[in-house]
Amino acid sequence: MEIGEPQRTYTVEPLEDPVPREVPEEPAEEPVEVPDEPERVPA
Amino acid sequence: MHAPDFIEPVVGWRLWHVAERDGALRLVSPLYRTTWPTRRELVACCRRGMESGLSLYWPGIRRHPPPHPGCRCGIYGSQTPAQAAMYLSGFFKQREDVVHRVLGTVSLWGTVVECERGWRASHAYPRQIHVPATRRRRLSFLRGLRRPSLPAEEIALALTDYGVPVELVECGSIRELAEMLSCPASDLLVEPA
Repeated sequence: MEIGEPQRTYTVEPLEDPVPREVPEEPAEEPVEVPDEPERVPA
Repeated sequence: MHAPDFIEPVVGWRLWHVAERDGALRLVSPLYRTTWPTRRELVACCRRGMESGLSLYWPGIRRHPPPHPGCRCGIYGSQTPAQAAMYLSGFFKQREDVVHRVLGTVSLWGTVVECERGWRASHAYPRQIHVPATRRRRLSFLRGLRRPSLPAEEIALALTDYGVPVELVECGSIRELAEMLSCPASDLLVEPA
């Protein structure tokens, strides 16, 4: 591609990533264990 | 540590070939046949010294990180789609593995060498891809748009692997497509993928 002669050089550090990266798969949620209700003991 | 000059990527125009790589359709640079990875930036490398003939053209330039103002290295983007479409000239003959040619915008960042009609950068990723769908099939080869060997719809769908907007554009030639897209790349409204 013919784009002509260089004019100036600079650095570009995008704040937002220009690459739509692969989102890592979240691990399947483990079932939450419901704590057993405390046994009711007659007073 | 120093502050960058800019915090948004430069947006330029490019022409890509579309070719099959490892069972998938990928964007490929027309000259050096570099395959553009999906979901990962392309990082420039300077081939000076890697190809024996090149040092004759740019003598006196030592090995350097690309892009170097005194070299021709870096990932290219042009200011207008028409300039990118000029890359279609007969100099770059159709290769057997090329199924289509597409135009698009590219984000350029890292070290950027601004030139008279475009940029050369150390890092790049496609920003938007325009896939021409020819409507004048019989004459398309005369107009710079060879008939794709796969349906344009299929090619467009495959290129969504890049995670950027892919647009199917009915047109008679790549140059006609370039005219249709002829506005500064930075003015284009790009919807998130």
